[in-house]
Amino acid sequence: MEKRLIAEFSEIVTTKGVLYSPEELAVYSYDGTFEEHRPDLVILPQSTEQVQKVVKIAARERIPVVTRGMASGLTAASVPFNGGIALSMTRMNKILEIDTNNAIAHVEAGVITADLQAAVEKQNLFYPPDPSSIRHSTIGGNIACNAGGPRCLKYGVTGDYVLGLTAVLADGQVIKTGGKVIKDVVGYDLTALLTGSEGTLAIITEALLRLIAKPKYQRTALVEFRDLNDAAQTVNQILAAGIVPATLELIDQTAISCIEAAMHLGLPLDMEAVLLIECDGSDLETVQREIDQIEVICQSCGADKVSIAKDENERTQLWKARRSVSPALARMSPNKLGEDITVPREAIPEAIRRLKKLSSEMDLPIVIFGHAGDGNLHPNILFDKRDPQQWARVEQTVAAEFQIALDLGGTLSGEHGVGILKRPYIQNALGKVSIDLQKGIKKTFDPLNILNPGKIFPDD
Amino acid sequence: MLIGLAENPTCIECGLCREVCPVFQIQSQEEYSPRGRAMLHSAGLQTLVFYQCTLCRTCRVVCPIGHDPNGEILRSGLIEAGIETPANQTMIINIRLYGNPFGPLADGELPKVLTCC
Repeated sequence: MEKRLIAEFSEIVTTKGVLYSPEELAVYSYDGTFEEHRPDLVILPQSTEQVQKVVKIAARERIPVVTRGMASGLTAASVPFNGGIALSMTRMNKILEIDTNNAIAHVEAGVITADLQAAVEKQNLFYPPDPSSIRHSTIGGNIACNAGGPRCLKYGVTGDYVLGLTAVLADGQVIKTGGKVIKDVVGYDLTALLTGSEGTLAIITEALLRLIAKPKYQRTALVEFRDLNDAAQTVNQILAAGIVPATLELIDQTAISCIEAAMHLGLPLDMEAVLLIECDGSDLETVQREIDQIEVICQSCGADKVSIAKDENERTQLWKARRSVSPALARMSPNKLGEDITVPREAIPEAIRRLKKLSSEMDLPIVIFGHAGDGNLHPNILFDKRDPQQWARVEQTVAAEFQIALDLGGTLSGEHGVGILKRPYIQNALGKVSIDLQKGIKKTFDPLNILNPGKIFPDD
Repeated sequence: MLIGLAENPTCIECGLCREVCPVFQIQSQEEYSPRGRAMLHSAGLQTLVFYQCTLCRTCRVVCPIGHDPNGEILRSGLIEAGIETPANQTMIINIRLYGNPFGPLADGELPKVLTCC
């Protein structure tokens, strides 16, 4: 990056807010995936005004701006493949207001999601979205990818809690969408459009988030199955009985053994699958009745054992285990590729059958876990990238996984997003009409193509 | 059952370590995180940032593959490459010249400044 530009940016964000040594560029070159590319400059803004000024210069000089939070993403959406500016939002980490009367939080984009949750829970309020990276990802990043998490089954995804956004457009103007109102049908829903746009339409700097009353009671059950199909069927039986647990997570045998190797929780190693089910609510009797009903349903569906967490400590351990599944798989093989396909919940057993079949056809282990209750599965392919033959099979397997999801009426991604990794496959999922329209939207927002260029859509 | 660094030389970039690293909690910048250090190390970059580590190794405990981007190993690389902090250099010179890390001391005088990295 030219010296005059570095000087100009330093004037805006001070010299402390501009990083460009080789070491500093190296650590802003990656996210949670194996993809890497160094930016030319890292800028750490502290206010919406600073972001505005930075973007104005970037637009004038046609420099790409790739916004990032804590870089825990799983699609390389925040990796600056075209160089330019990595705009790290981590210094905009203030909770501006917790409005208890309206149950709304006003936050800056760089607030760590778990910090927000802790702050609102002190006021007996609740911000439900809970991606596994909750303690090392930001609200801004969660919104930009419309992050999900286990609790989304009952409570919905990040987007369901975003009431309004402050964002900087590609020409440096500030736009405010939505507001502190629950209902809002004036004009197009730009809040929803920016949510999940992966930094390609605007730079989200602040958000108004809807909060709900904190559920007082939880009951968590670990249900063991000898047959993975039985576990998948149980998911539908529970939901069909009219019970909506807060979470309904499925973990298969390989994933269980990985967690057990890492954490020694005494999880069953001889079971094909476990379900981790949690009911919550503000009335203890209702919560207890639901978990009791679930126990009965599980047993009638062939569960081998149902154990209910005795205390908060046991419950925390179970959740810690669930959160560490994805990283724990790294023990099994040098590389893993985790997808997050989504199918209608009725199709979960069939999706699992087809994934298992694919695994044996391709001779590659596919570990299956995920948010079975909402049809969002994380099939993880285990492989060794150093073996070119295996890598070729991995690419075929990924394409086949996506095809399974599409054939069953599902789609490519439930909560990770597209980024760069799923870019080649979205034509199949969306069709040409939709993609052309969406590319038009991108052009309207960002005619110079400087905001996170090259992400989501395939090149023309 | 933790696997040693020798078996797991490559960080898987999950970033879990950042939840527990005391330095990262304060600095909130990737270069001060265990993941950042691991990535710098694998990119072959030597930097004084490696000293911004308390050596507590909590990162290793939470790391799902038992990777250990701890300051000790990284710092030994710095020393081999002759990269030192000014404070450390002063300390070493003082030891050579005066037999103590604090500099010239009169008989019975107590050191006023504790030089550290």
